[in-house]
Amino acid sequence: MGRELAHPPKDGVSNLRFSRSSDRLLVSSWEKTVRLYDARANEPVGVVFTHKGPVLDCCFHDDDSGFSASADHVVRRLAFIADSSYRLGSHVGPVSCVEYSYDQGQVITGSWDKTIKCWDPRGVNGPQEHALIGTHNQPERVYSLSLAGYKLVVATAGRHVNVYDLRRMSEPEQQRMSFLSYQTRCVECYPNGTGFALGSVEGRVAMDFFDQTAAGLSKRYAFKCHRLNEGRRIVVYPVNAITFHPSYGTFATGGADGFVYTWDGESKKKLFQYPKHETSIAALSFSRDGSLLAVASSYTYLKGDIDHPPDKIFIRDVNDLEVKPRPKLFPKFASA
Amino acid sequence: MNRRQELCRNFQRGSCKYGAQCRYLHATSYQQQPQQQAKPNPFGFGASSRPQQQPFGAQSQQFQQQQQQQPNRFGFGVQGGGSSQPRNAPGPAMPFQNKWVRDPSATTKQPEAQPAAQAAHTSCTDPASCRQQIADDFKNEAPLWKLTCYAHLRSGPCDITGDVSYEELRAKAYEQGKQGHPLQSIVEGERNLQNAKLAEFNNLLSSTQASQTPSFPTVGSFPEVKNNSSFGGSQTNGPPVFTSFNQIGAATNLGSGARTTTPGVPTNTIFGQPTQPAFGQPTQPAFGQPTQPAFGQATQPTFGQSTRPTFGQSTTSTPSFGAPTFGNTGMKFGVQDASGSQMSRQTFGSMSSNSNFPNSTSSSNNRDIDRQSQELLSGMTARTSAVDQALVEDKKNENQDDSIWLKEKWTIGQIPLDEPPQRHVSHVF
Repeated sequence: MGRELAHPPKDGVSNLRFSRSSDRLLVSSWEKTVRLYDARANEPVGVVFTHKGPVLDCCFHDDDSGFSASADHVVRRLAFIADSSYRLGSHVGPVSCVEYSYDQGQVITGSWDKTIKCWDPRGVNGPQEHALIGTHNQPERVYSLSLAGYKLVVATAGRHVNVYDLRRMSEPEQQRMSFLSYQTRCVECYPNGTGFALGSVEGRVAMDFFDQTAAGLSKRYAFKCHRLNEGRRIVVYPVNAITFHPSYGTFATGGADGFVYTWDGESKKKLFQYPKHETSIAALSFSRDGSLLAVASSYTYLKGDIDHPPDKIFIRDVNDLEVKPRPKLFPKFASA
Repeated sequence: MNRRQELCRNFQRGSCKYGAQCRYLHATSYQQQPQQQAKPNPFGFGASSRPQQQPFGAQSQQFQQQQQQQPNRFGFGVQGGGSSQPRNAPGPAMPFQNKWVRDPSATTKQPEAQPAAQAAHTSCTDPASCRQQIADDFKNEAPLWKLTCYAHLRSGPCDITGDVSYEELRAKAYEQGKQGHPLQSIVEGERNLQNAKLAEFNNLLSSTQASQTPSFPTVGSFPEVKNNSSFGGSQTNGPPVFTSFNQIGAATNLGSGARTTTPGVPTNTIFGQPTQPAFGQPTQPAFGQPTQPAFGQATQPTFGQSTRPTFGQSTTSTPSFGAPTFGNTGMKFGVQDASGSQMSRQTFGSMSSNSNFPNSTSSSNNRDIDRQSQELLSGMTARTSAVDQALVEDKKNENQDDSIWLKEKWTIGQIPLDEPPQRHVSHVF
C-alpha cells in the first residue's frame, strides 16, 4: 500500500502532482486548499494555500511555484517560498483543470464554462492582470487537459476531444470524439507525444493517437478495466486517473473501485495490480524518475453524499516489476 | 500449437483463464451470442497475441470495432489474430505501415465487420445492429455513474447528451450547502437529475427496440410482432408513449428537479435489463396485445417523438398488475403501460392526442421512479423480486423512500445509502 502521507487534506483530494524537478508533491483538495509535501521525507512543506472555493486542480511551475484551479473561478499562481499567491485571472465558471506548458511557457486552464484559457505566468507580477493570452471556446464543459510537447488535448463533456497545437491556438488541430461510448473522465498524453489515453466512466480506457491517417487509426484500441464482479453482476467503475511512467511509457490507471493497475500500452498487457484501497482513487502521479507513485485514495462522490472512509494519500515506492514494459517475445501463431 | 480445433468451452461462456495460452480455440460459434459479455480480460481482447513490430502492434482498430459492432463480443476472437498472423509474420513491418488494414479476407468470421465498422463511424447504417449494440451496452456495461452521455457509435456524436461529472455535482452540493440548503433537498435534486437521465437512457433503448425478436420476454427486446401489425406498419414499436414525455421531462428535469414530467419510465430497464421479462405475460390476455411496457407506440423510430397516445388511459389499470412476477424494478411501469398500450393501440394512428396525458399518472410514476432511482443511486442493480415486491407495495406510499425505512429487514440491493429522514429515526445512539 505504500506509506501514508502525513497530514493529508481533510476533505477529498481533487488532484495531486509530482514536481518535474524534485520529489515534491502538490495536492489540491476540496477543503479549498493546496498543500505542498516532500514525498520522500513524508512531511508537509511550507504553508497551506487556502482558496475561496474547492480547488479542482493544481500543477507545478518550478520548484518554487505552482498554479491552482479553483471552483471559485480563479486561476492562481502560488509561490511556495514566499508563501503567497497571486491571481492570474479568472474564468466565468469553476476552473476544472490547469496545466503548465514548459515548452510554451504558458499556463493553460480549462473550465466548466466551456472555454480554455492560456495565460502568461509572468504577467502576474505586475499590478494589473495582463496575463491572459487567449480564450478558446470548447464544445462543452472541459473535464480534463493534457499536454505533451506542443500538443494540447482537451477532453470535454459530451465526449468531445480537441487537440490543439500550442503554437497555433486559433483553432483546434483536430476535433474528434472519444471513441468510447460514455462520459470521459480523464485524458493523459503519452510521454512520447504520439497520442493520448482517455479514461471513461464505463471502466474503459481508450488508447488513441494523434495520427489520423489510416495507419494511425488502426492502432487505436480500448480496453476494459476497473470492473468488479460483485455477486453475479459486473459493476462498472469509472476510471478516474491515468498517469504515465516518465521513462518507460507504461501507465497506471486508478478507478473508483479503489484499485490501481499498471499497464503496458504497447504490448497491451496488465502489468500489476495494487491492493485495493479503501475508497476510490481520485488521482495518481508518478514522480519525475518514476520511482514513486502517489495515490490519492479519496472518495469522489460517485454515489452522492454518503459516509466514506477517510481520504488518504499513499506514496509507494515503485518496483521495476510493476512498471517495466513486457514486450511480447513469441507471437502466437494460431494456425488453424 | 493448436492441437485441438475444439472451441474452448470457457471462452464460450465468456471467460477463459488461459487466454492466449489456451489450448482450445477461442472463437465463438458462428451464431450470434448477444448475451456473451466480455468479462474476463481487462483488455477485452486478451486472447490474441501479435508480433510486436509496430508500436502498439498492428492491432487495428477494426478488431475493436468488431468487438463492438458485432453482437458477439468475442467475435474477433483469436481468429482474426490467428488468420492474420501469417500475414504479419513475413518480415517486420515498417512503423506505421499497417499490413492488414481493412483486409476483408483477414477475418473469415466477420467479413462484413470492416466496412460496417468504418461506416459506423459516422452513421447508423444498420439499425438492427445498432439496436443490438445499444441493448448489449446497456445490459452488460451499464456504468455505475449514471449521469453520463452515451453514444452507440464509436467516435460518433452522443445519443444522450447532458452528462454531469461527479465533481460538478459535488461542487454544486457544496455550494448549496453553503447557501444553507438542507441536505435533503440537495439529495433530491441529485436524484432528480439521475431520474431524468435514466429516463433518457430508457427512451433510447426502447426507441431502438423496434423490430427485434418477436419472442416475449427476451432481454433487450420487446415483443414486437403483434405490435407491428397492430400499429399499422411502423417499424419501431418500441418507443413507448412516454418517450415523448421523457424528452420533455428530461429536458426540463435536468437540473430543474421538476418531476412531473417523467412519467411511465421503467427507469431501470436499461441498467438492469432492458425489458421487463415476465412482464406482460399474465396481463396480456387482458389486453390482447403484447405489452410493451413501452406503451407500444410505434412510429417513432427515435425517441423524442411526441405522440402521447393515450397514456392517460392507463391510469385505470395501474394497480392491477401483478408486480411480483416481475424481476425488474421497472416492471411497475410496464404494468401501467400495458393498459396504456392497449389503449394506445386504438388511437395509435392518430398520434396526436397529446392532451390525453394526465398528470395524475405521472405523479405515481414519479414516486416509483424515485424509488427505483434510489436503488440505482445506491449503485445497485439487483433485480431481486423482493425488491420489486417492496416497490410495488410502496407504490402507494406518499413519500418516496419511506417503505425502505419501514422494512424489517433489508436484502442485498435494498440497503439505502442515505441516512433515514428524521421521521424514521427512532432514537439517537
